[in-house]
Amino acid sequence: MESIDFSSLIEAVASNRDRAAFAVLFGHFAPRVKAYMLRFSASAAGAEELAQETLLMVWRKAATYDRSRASAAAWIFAIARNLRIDSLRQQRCGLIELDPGAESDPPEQPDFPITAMERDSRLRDALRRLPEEQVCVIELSFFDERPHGDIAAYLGIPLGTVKSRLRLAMGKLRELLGDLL
Amino acid sequence: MTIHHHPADTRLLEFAAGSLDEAQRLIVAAHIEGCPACRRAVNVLEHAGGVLMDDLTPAPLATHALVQVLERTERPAAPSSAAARSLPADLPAMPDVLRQYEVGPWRWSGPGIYWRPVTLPGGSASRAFLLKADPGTRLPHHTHIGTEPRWRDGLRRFADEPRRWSGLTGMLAMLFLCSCTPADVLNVLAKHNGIQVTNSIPYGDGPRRTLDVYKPEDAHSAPIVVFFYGGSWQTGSKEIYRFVATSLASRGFVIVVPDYRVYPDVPFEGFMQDSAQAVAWAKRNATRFGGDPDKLFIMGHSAGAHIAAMLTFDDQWLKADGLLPRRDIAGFIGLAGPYDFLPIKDPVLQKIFSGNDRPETQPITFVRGGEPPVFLGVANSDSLVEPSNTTRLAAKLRANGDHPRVVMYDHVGHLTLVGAFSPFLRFLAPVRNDVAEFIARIAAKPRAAPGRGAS
Repeated sequence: MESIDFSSLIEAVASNRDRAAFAVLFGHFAPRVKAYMLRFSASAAGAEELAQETLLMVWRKAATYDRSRASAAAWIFAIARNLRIDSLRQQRCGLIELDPGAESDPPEQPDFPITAMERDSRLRDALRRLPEEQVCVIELSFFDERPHGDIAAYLGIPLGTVKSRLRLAMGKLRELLGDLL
Repeated sequence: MTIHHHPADTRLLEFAAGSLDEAQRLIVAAHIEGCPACRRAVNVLEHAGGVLMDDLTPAPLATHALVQVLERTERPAAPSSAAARSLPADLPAMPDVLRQYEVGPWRWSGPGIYWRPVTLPGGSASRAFLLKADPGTRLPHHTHIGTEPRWRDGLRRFADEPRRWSGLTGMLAMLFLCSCTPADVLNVLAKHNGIQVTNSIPYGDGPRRTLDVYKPEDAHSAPIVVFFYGGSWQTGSKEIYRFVATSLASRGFVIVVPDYRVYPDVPFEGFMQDSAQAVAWAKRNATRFGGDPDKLFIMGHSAGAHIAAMLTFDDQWLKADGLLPRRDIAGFIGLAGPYDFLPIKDPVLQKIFSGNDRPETQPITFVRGGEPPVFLGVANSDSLVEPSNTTRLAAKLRANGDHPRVVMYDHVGHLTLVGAFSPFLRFLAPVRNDVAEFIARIAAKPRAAPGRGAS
């Protein structure tokens, strides 16, 4: 994924308001964020709006990005997720309560022993090692509004099985990424 | 602050995915503020989210989306409607995340117990509230409605730790942020089985000549195993095989996983020299890591099994580093290895081995009896490396008076044979157990005389 150094691009946006760097980020991430939003049965227009909103946040919050804490993809994912949560709140009761970015500001953390990029490649590798059925429940957790009970119905398996697959998957991730988790 | 109960893994996953409801999200957010371990777990899971999102099929944006967004960057951001609230003055030590919420006044709930509501946005179906209790108060038995979990033990004693709450007025012992925290509390911090890992120690020049060492914390004169991964002599990296190393280290062995240069950087001779150096390094440094240099095993999978077998059977490689396999190697473990694969048809492999028919590149060539003990594992349905490599090698060893232990596994293939070292895939085949038992058995034997003869 990060054959382009997206982290540096975010930093360029932060320090120089670099539009060319932003355009590259936009070209890569906006369509993926839109795909992410579409998973939640947002209308195409709603997904488009949220994707644009996410990238706008990337521009505005670039200065808070810290490559030692998050890969570009993880950081942008967190922004997109928070915006999605927020738009749900608005839909429910017409309120805008939270600063959409507030939750994506991670608290002070101890230094990680490895870089975010390494973490990503390790994760990629770890996910690849999971059996299909476990990746499936993790993906549905990330990309589906459904609570686990509905995921169970969707997959036609008992709720207990969904939970046990998630636990197995998490256990496996912990095994593969023991020093990270 | 000491936190004893942690959210279940699945709860952290839901938090990272953004699928928790308001109250649960608040509880987890408050928890991770004070808990570095869960914070790290969430961070890793957010990375997983990033990776998964990155893998989605991109959905094209409207034609001028970029322009529109760039135009919007010119305009000042709308002021946030939720400027952080300051917390009530009587709540000095609460998690920051609470600043985003409106907190009601304290209400009396029962002797020694007070609560105050936390207003959640978005018409949340769940509720959150703060609970405080005098030191030593027992929380009355309570249950939750519907699908919400209940406290595991019915009664919970509020810890008596006044120092922790010195920021609060004297009477308070503990403050709970309480919604429906899962009662099935897992110890998510389950110790990573007491293995110390030292990464990327150089055993030669350059980035490919480094190795990782996995030392069981209590290792003392333990068997030490050098594991060579596979990758067609062209790829591979030690990080990927962490699961093999931790899996064996947890059986009490010191595990060394070297990188080695591969083609096209170097041909056959190059990776053989690197591997020999890595083994010599392990011999020299075994005691430093709690290993016994006299219980030095060489192990490999696939192309790595070929390398390990060459080191074991053809004296010339280790000799360059002052070692003699029959004297210095306690045993060889080969998994799904190519030991006898002439003539070579693949053009790349022909380059790696400088020709298509050189017996001096084949481990089987050098078997002559009196080799160190051998364990050969192979997947019956291996479609990448013919299992007959193993059977031919085993036959030649036997013909020369050796007693290799050969195990053919069903239900695994070329890769899952080594995958079966991970706890998750262990059910596939008992490879890890068999290898560990082999090592333990050999290591327990009194040391044979140097240059031991045929067994």
